[in-house]
Order: sequence, then C-alpha cells, then structure tokens
Amino acid sequence: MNSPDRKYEPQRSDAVIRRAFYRSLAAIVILALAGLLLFWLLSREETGQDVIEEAIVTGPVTETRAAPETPPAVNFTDITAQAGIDFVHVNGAYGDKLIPEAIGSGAAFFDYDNDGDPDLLLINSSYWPGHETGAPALPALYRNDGDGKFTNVTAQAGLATSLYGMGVAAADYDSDGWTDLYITALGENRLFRNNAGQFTDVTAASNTAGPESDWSSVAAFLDYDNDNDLDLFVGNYVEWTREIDLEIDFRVTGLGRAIGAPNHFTGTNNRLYRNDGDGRFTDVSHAAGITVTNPSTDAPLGKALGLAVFDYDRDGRLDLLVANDTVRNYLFHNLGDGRFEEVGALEGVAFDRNGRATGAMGVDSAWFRNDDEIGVGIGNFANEMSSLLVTADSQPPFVDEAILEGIGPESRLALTFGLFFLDYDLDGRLDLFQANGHLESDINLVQPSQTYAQAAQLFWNCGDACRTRFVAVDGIGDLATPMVGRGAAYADIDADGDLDIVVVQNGHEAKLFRNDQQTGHHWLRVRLEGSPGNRDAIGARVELTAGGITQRRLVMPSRSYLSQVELPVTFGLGENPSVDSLLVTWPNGESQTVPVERVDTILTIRQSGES
Amino acid sequence: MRRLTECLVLCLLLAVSTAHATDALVELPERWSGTLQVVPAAELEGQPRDIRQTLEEARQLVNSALQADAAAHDLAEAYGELGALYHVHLMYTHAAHCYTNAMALDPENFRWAYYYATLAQNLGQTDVAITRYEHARTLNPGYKALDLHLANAWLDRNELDKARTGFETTRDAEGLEAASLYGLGHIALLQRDYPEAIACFNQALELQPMASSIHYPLAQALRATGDREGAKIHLEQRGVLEPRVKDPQIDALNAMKNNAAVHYVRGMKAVRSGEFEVAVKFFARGLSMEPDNSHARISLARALYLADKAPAAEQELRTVLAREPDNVFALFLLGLLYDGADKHVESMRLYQLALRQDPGHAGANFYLGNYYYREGRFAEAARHYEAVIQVEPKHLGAHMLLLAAREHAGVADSVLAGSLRTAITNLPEQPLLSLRLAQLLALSGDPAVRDPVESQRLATILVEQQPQPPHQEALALALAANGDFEQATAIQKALVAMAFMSAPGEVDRLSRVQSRYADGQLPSADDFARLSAIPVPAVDVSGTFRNYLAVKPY
Repeated sequence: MNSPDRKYEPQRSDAVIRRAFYRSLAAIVILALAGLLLFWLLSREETGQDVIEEAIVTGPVTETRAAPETPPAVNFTDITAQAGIDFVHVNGAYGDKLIPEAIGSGAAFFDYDNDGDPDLLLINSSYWPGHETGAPALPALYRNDGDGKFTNVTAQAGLATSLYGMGVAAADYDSDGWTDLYITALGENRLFRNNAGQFTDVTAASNTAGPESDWSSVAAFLDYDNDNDLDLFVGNYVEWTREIDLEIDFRVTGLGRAIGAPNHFTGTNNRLYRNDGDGRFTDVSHAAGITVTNPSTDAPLGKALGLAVFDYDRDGRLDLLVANDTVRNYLFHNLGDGRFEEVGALEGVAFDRNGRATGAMGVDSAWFRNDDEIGVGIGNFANEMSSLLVTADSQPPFVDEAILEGIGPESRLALTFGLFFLDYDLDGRLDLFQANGHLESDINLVQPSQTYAQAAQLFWNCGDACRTRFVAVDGIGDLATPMVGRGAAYADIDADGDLDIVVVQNGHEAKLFRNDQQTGHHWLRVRLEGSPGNRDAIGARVELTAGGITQRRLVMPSRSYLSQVELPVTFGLGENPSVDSLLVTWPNGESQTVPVERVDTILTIRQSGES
Repeated sequence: MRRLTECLVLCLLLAVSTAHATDALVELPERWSGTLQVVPAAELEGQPRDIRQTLEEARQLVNSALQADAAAHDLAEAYGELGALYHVHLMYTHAAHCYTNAMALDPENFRWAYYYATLAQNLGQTDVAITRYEHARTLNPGYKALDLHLANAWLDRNELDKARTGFETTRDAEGLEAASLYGLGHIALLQRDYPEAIACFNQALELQPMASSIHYPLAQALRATGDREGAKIHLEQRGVLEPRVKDPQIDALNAMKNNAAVHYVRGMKAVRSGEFEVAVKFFARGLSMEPDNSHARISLARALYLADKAPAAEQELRTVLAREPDNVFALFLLGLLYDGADKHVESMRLYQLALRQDPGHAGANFYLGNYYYREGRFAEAARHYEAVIQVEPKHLGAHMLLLAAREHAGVADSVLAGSLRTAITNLPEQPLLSLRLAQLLALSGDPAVRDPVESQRLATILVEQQPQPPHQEALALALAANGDFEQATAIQKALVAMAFMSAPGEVDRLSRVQSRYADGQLPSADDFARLSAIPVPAVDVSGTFRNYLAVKPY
C-alpha cells in the first residue's frame, strides 16, 4: 500500500544520498586541504629560517634572534621594590639651590660578605645644618640574599654614618680578604675597613680624610707604583662653600636662581694616596705630579667628576684619565717612577673636536671593537655629545669618533652622568649605557629640548654590520622611564650570566633594573684572585678568544660616575658554545693561560694557577 | 538712581582697567586663539634692570598689537623681535613660541624661519635644525651662511658626504671661506686623512689667524702624523674663537643682546615708517644706556631734524664733534644742515673738513660741487662731481651736473664727448645723455669729434626706444649732418606741426631749424637744449637726512 511517506521515498533517498555525497565530498576536501596545509607546514619547518618567522607568528618565543643590524629585544625590569631596595637619595635641597645638591651620588656593587654574590651600597648626601626635615640621611648597604631580594644591613654592618656623600671606591686595600670602602664627601672623606662584614671607620688612622675644605667626588683604588698594594686616587671637584655659592648667585634668565655653573667656581687639585702597607697612606699628590694649576691665575685648574683607570699606551702601568667639568680633561701618563705627566691635550682627550672643554662627568674605557684600539666614553653636559675617544694603530692620539660611531648625535641632548660599557646581550661586543638627568627641575620652562628627568640610553654595539657601530636601542623596558640619573653601576645580581643595572637618582629613589634578556647567548664570567697585596687583582687584563674573536677586559671596578661595578668580568660568547683561549695578564705583568672547560658559568682564577 | 550710575561707571572702569591688564600673549584674542601659541610670562627676577625692561617692553608691544588687532605682518614683527630677545637671553622655550607665531603670521619671512632653525641648533636638536634650515632655504636660497650652518648640522649627524658637499659649496663664498675649510678639516680628521686635515686647517688659519679654535684639531692632526713638536706649538695657541662667519642675520640677532641696540633697531624702524618723534625716543633711550655711542647719536640727530627739531639736531651733531672732531659723517651732516639754512661759509668749511678726512666722501663732494656750481666756479664744481663719480659711478646727478659744469666752463668738445661717453657707460638707461652726445657728434666743429654716422646711429636707437619729439629732432639733425636734408626737413616739419601746444618759443625754434634744413644747412648748436640748462638742485636736507646710508647707524 502507498503511504504519503513512501510515496517520496525515492526522492528523499536521492536527496539523502546526494547530501551524503556532498557531505563526504566536503569532508574529503577538508581533509585534503588539511593534509596539504600540514604538508606545507612540515616542509617549511625543514628550511629553518621559516621556523623563526613561524615561531614569531604562531607561538611563544623562547629565544630572540634579531637580524644582524637590529638590536635584540631586551627588557630591563624595575625590580627595586620587589628586591627590597627602598633607598631615597637625600640632597638636602631647601630652596637656595646649592650646587652640591645636584651632584650626588654614586653606588657600588661589591661582595661585602664574601658569599659570592654582589651586594649593593648606595651613597647618600644629607640635610644641610639647620634644614633637617627628617632623620639623618644614611648610606644604604643591601645584602644580596641570592633569591632576587636584598636586605638592608647598613646599621649592623657599621655603615650608619651620615655625611654629605658623593662617591665610593671598593677594594681590599689591606689585603685581608674583605672588600673595604672609601666614601668621598663634601668635607672629610671616610675609609671603612671591612672585617668579616663589619665596617670600621679607620679614616683618621689611615690619613685619607683629606681636608675638610675638599669636595671630593670620584675615587679609585689602583696600584699605581706596581708595588703590589692598592693606592688610592681621589678626585676633587670645585672650591665650594655655601657663602661662595650664594655670593656667585648664579641665575638663569627665566628661572631665577639656579644651580651654579662650575665655571664660576675655582678648581681644585686631586689627591693621590700611596699605600704604605701598614694601614696608612701618604699623600703624594704633589710629588707624583698630579697637581695642575691654571698658568694664568696660578690657581688649581681641575674640577674632577669622573675617572678612568687604564693603560692607554700599553707600557704595563696604569694611567689616569680624569674627566673634568668645564675645564680640560686630564690624562696622567704613568712614568713608572712614582710620577705622572699630564698629557691630555697632546693625546687628544682634553677637549671636544673644536678645542672646547666640555662638562664631563661619567667615564669608562674599553676595547669595544675587540681589537687593539682602546676607547674612552665620556658623558657630557646637555647639548654636548658624549665623547668616544679612540686610539689608532694601538697608539694615541685619541680622536673623538662619537659622530662616526653613532653615539654623538643621539647623545647630544641628554645630560649624562653615569656611563659604562657592558655587553648587555652577551653577543660578544661591548655596548654602552648612559644614565641621564638634568640639574634644574624647571629647565623645560626655558629650554624646550630639556627635561629634568631623562630616559637612560642604551647603545647596542652592532660591530661592522651597521652603518654606525652603535645603534640606539628603543625598547629597553623600564630603563626608558625618565630619571634624574647620576651614579650607575652593573653586576650580575641574579647569577644568570647577564648584567643588571642600578641607577642612583639625585633627590629621588634609586632604581634596580634586572636584565631579562632572552638571547640564549653563551657567556663566561671570570673572577680573579690575585696575590697578597692586591687580592682583587685590580689592574689585571683578561683576554678571551672565542670563534676567532678576542675580547679584552680590565679588572677595574672604578667606572662610570662616582660608582663601582662588580669585580668579576663578563664575556658574552654569542653562539659560541666554547672558548678557544683565556689569557690573564696579572697586575705584576705575569701571564697565565687558563683552560676553559665549560661556559655559562663563573670561573675563579687564582694567580697561583689553580682555578 | 545716582548710586546705580556710580556703580555702572565703576564697573565700566573696572572692565577697562582689566582689559588693559590682560596679557594677550597668554589670553589670546579669539581671532588668534586657534592659530597662535601662548607665550607664557617669563620669570625675570634677579635679572639686570635693563634686561627686564627691554623684555617687558617688547612683550608689551606684542600685547598692544594683539589688543589693537594689528595686521598680521606687524604682529609677526612684534612676535619675532620678542622671540629674538628671548633667544639671545637664553630663554629658548619662550623664543620658540614667539618664532612659531611670527612664522605663522608671516610665512614668507626668512628672518624668523632662519632664527627658528638656529634656535634648534643652539638647543642641540640637530634633526629639527636640519628640517628648519631646509625650509628657511626655500625662502632665501642665496643666503650662503645658512648652507654653512646646515653643513655643520650634517656633520653633527654623521652625514659626512652631505656635510662635505655643503662646505664645498660655501668654500668660495665671501666671509665663509675659513669656516668652510674648518668644517672640511674636521671631516678629514674624522676620517683620519691627516694630511688633508692639516692642509684645510692651515688654510683656514691663514685666512683667519685669530680663529684660535683651529689650533686644537690641527694639533691633533699633527700629533697623529708623529709631529709632536708641531702639535705642541699649536696646542699652546689653542683658544675658543671659531672662524668668523659673515652672517648679517645672526649679527643682527646677537646685537639684540646689547639692550641699547634693541632701542636703536626700533628707532631705525620708526624712521623707515616715517615716525620720527618715535624714532627720537628710541634713540634717546638707547643713548641713555650708552651715551658714548657716536653712531647712535648721529642717528638721533637725523631723527630730530626729520621731526622738525633742527636746533636739537645741530646740538647732537656738535656733541659728537666735541668728542670726535674728525667724525666725517657728523661733519658732513652738520655742513648740510648749515647749507640748508644758507649758512654757506660754515657749511663749506665743514664739507672741506670732512673731505680732508675722507677725500672720496660722496655727500660732501656733491654738495660742495653744487655750491661751486651756483657760484659759477664750474671747474671746481666739476672736480667735486668727478670725485663723486669715482665712488658712485651710477650717481646720475653727479654725471649730469659734471656735464653741465663742463659746458658752462666751455671745455673742448672732445672733453665733453669723453664725459658723455663715460656717463652713458655707467648709466645706459638715461636717454638724455645719448641725446646730448648725438647732438654733439652732429654739430661739433672739431673734426676729431664730429661723427655724423655715430650720431645717426644713436638717434635711430633713441627713436626706436622712444619716438618722442626730442629724439625725432635728434634724428633729423643726424640725417642733416649726413647730408640728407630732405628727410631732415620732413621730420622737422612734422615736429613743427605737432608743436602747436608747446610753449611759443619752442615753435619758433623748431621752425628755425626747419628753415635751415630746407636751405641745406645745419642749424646752430644754440638752437638745441644743453645740459648746462639743468638747474642745480636745491639742498635737500630732509631727503639726505632720511636716506643717506650710514655705514654704521648705531
């Protein structure tokens, strides 16, 4: 019997079949397409380069690899708060705009407790007498707890001393195995001897205070006379008293009274203290020939704010480049008989390319081209390019190549204090960091190109692949936050091989930035243990060759502005998984080749040859 | 009712006083609120009184111009000058706002665009400076100093090829040679081409030995070649004076630092716009700051005369001469002042004193020449007119009066012809001179001078250029001199016919000449106008006080 349903059955059947066919056809097509897609993906994966692109497009990045001419993406993260750093620099400003208020201060990374990681000392200035608005300002010593945190141990370490601090030098001057501290100040400086993590003020006994009238800035421990102990160089700024400052009454049109320009103040002489080996030092400044006077006035000429200690002429003796503010920079050539000869003008470091003195502040030296030419970077005042003075044929004179190497134009506007070379991306080439910040809080009212707080600058060393060697890095994370930057230093605070940065802000909180680079580059850190007298091996040179390229580092923590970097030296190895050779030239001239069995570690080398 | 009226008046007064107290640079009038930038008031406490005063006055000028709804150009000038003052007193933010406004109001004004570019370079904003220099160059492509500054900006930017091109372009420009070589030397030093650097720096030093900044980079280059002793010699001479650049715009900007100069500049502007009383005030104010500025005092004297204060003008000139008895310009102007007052003995004495210091002084020679001319001392007059022509070859009056004086003096036709030819060479656009020469060449009794062919050539050109009756008559004369009396007669006849509206004597003259042609004879030279008929111009004291170019007005 025919029913209505049965009546349509054939058509329905056809339709069903047709639908089924189309569905299956669609399924087949989809499967085919998926297969093709899979095939395509798989075949792209085999070519390697495409994987890099695909990885960027489709998945999280575990390694960042940039084109040869492009700085790698690197983030510096502000971990100040989470690390427990709560230091705020007190400059004592109360309205008179005294020049010392704008100059401080510095920082030091050093291992105060010998537990193998870098601790952090932040130098403080203070309130002016009669204008105290809080508890006495103190320096802050933070112990690195090894887990990304720091603990303030200032008081228990014996450093709770209030002074109008400026800079710091850290070294084991008495060779007892503990790193001591020299803090410069407006007024008498202080030498703190470290005894197993406890500091004692031994200034008076050591004869290193300097006169109360001195305004000291930069300091460095070095063995200038090669007698195997660490002597002390102290840079002094200008002759200053509050009365002088107020009498000069420096003004900027449109702002009124302003922070005094140093060219209105008389210069001073630096001091060189020879280590007598018994805990005492002798001031040999005059005998050593480091006193420089203005021939026209017979008054001291110098206004030191920065110091680079290095052997510029490769004669085995450490020389001194003093960055002076608004007067010519000095280059004290070590003559080897306890004396120096000032040759800055002749050797091309004294002035800018037009023969003018600059407002020079932070300074560092490095073999940034990984060849025999040594370069010196100097941070200068606003509207002055940073200097990049480089030798040629391994010899002076220096020529300022800041323009050629890409630093000049980018650095012109900034007012640069802290400056150092570091290999932030561990590619084997030293990059350049600058901490910037103006003196005047209202400067923008009269100079539209200037601001009080200024972003730090990081210049990536591109090597020979780029039009200019140094390329300004745009993405630097929290480092780009404008700061009133002064002292700056680096250290590997988290033992991950890359270098982290601290910046001291004048009148504001210090900042600690963790390097979060993810380049996957290899590295080797080297810590030296020298002979008694100079256990830190300050002045030693380390040369590492990897992939046919030789890098050089000088063990010299005094760099940048009023600051100290950590003692170990860091070599980025890039893609190289091994080291071809490692050569140490100790301060006494002895050379030692050290086998390197693995990378991505810290290697401790003793001068006895054991490592 | 009375109380209400009083209240209304009070309110009105309050409104008026509030309006005057408004700083229109901050509270811009509605017309400009979308176009111009606010220029905040500047903190001037502690600045010297004259700087404060100068800045405040300049700001008030802008304020007044805004409130008076001044024309865009005038407002641009006011903003620009205020910007320049802020600029030289290192208040760059304020300067930037002012220049921006000046450029918005007067986009074609090179000065503000140029200063704006310079400001960026002063501030270290090299990229911005480059962009602005390139814009300013479109407004004045021939201003070479700009190219030099741009080349320096390229050098700072590490664009060495562009910098080199720029310096090469300016290398031969007057006043820019040393600075260009200095730049080229720096490029060579950067590229460690020490011989080239040494050569460039040495050349620059030869051109400007006082440019002490050259010594340092030269020392560097010498040191790099191993010449330590040579390097030391130059290091000892190191200084900070960079090669001078001929840059009138920047000179004018820097002059603004001199607060007195600000008033002088305003004074000069007031003179140009005919506001002499105002000019007097500005010059006087500037002189109150620097009373020994003789140049400015002379300018004050000129403004005083133009403001109808001749006795005061005389006094100011006497004051200058009391300090500087040999001041040529003061001597001349005082002489002119007396000349205009018919005190000829005194004026002649002063002119001669001026000429004793400066024998080529054009003004003194011209007016002394005029005096002798009026006195009938034509040879002496001619001598002085020649002296004017020596320094100002295109001085029409001097040429004309020299010829006139020579005619009066009865000099030989050959001398006259020579003078005419010299005048024509210097002033080819003056047809009267060619006309007179054509006449002379046609009628001269000196066979060495007479040249009818040349006469006809000159006359033909005159007619082609301007077929007016005197030129037609000259052609007729030349044709006659060449023997074509028929043509000459025809032309002269037509001139007679056209002369019915001329003065009666003119018709007679023309007819007389026509008759001569008809008779196949040349007319007399007396039948033609001579240059000696030109009257000596009256002493134009006002015109000279207003227009005579001072080498240094302040």
